[in-house]
Amino acid sequence: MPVQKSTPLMEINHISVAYQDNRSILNDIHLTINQGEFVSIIGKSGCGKSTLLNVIAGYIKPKHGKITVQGREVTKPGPDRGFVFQDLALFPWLSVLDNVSFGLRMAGVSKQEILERSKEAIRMVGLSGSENKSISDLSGGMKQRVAIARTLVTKPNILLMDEPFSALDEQTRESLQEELLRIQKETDMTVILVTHSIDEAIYLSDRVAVFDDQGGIHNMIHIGLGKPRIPEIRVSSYFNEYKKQLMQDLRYDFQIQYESEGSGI
Amino acid sequence: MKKFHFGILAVPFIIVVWMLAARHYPPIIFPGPWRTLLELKKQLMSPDYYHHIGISLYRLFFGFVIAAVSAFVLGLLAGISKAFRQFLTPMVALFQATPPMAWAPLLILMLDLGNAPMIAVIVIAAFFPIVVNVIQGMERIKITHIRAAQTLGASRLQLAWHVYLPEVMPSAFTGIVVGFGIAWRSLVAAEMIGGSSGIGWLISSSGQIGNSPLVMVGIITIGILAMFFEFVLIHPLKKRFASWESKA
Repeated sequence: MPVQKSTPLMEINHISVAYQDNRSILNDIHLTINQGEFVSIIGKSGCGKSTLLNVIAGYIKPKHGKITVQGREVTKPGPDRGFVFQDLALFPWLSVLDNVSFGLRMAGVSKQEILERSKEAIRMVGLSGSENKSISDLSGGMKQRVAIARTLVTKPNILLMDEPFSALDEQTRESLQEELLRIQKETDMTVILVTHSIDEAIYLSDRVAVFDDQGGIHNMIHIGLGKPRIPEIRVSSYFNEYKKQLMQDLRYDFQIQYESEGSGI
Repeated sequence: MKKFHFGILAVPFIIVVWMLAARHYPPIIFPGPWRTLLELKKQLMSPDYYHHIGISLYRLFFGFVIAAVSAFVLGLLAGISKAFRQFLTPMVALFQATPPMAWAPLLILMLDLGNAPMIAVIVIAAFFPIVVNVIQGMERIKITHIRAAQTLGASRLQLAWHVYLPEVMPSAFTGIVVGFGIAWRSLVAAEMIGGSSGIGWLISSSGQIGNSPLVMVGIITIGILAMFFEFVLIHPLKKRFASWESKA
């Protein structure tokens, strides 16, 4: 299986994050991510996977370690690292177009360019014609598309996604996954996705990081299913092999927890 | 055919009750609707009547704008800074518990008769409900909205203007509606005790000289003006800036 790209884009350098009372959330995470790569992070609730995304975005400062993107250290949020939130965080007082153009308006781009680039982003997510709709008039899948378009408009180098599809029905979810891969190919973006879904992680990713319960990386798996991914791959035996392995990796944690709970009897 | 709306009965009902009540008193004490209407007709021709309305509206406008702008700025600051919020909250609670009218005698002594004490009463009346609601609105702003704006490149000032301000609007309007109601009532009351002009003064001075029809005209004027502001000014503004909340 050929490795497509190997230029290191982001270095996650021994990152640790702790609560106020010193309980650790992230424990010495070390990871290098290449340009154009799609990396998923899976793990149980509370394992720190969303926290890692927040540190990369610059919302949370790590206790130890640092993150560099193209050699420059991450100190605060910025449009080079787009973020799609679990609750989408669309601005309900703005129309679809004004939501999407937000980043450009902040940057002081000319009116003409704002309109062109926003419409292009809206087209890319398949929402042309809905520019003037109000956010509250959209379905869940359409809102998701707006959230992605709003992030794409500033042409981020890295797209961070925190369980973006978890609230959607299965059909919408799958079609958005396919569109995400298409958009990634079109833009050559690097994507880091936090998800609960093993299927989603395998289908989308080049690599899947499995978190343990202590906020560390338990295992890193390369998904050698080739690209571009075809939807039929979801029902192939290769796909199921990866699924089996990831389920075992996640269950390994479960067993440890189970034993330690039982040991007190 | 449209279904019958019982609200149509409200005005005829008031007029009938009014007429029945007025029959028990001599017209000079409590005039009926007809006499009041004649007085209103007379007043509508009189420049004095407009003068008093104008003075009251002038005071209301200045007092309310001062209150709303300062409450907005302080409320936003209190929303951003926890220390300032802690400092402000007990003061707001204390002042909000006192009726604005109670300040009127003192303010008249301090600021003399005329517009200044009346404007001060309005500021006291309107400021606190607005500031309380703006602070509450700031507390309800979603962290992901702030983060999304930061990631999209918003500076601190842009964040305040493009996220804090619009997101706080629905709460602020709750405060504006409440504050406006209190301010208008307080103004009329303050004019009654210490003014030499304004609708409140028109009512109290007419009562003193036994011109009851003019008292009634004053009361009706107050009601109609308040309704006018609510439906022509505040509701359209609320619809423009805060309607997204009911749908979101």
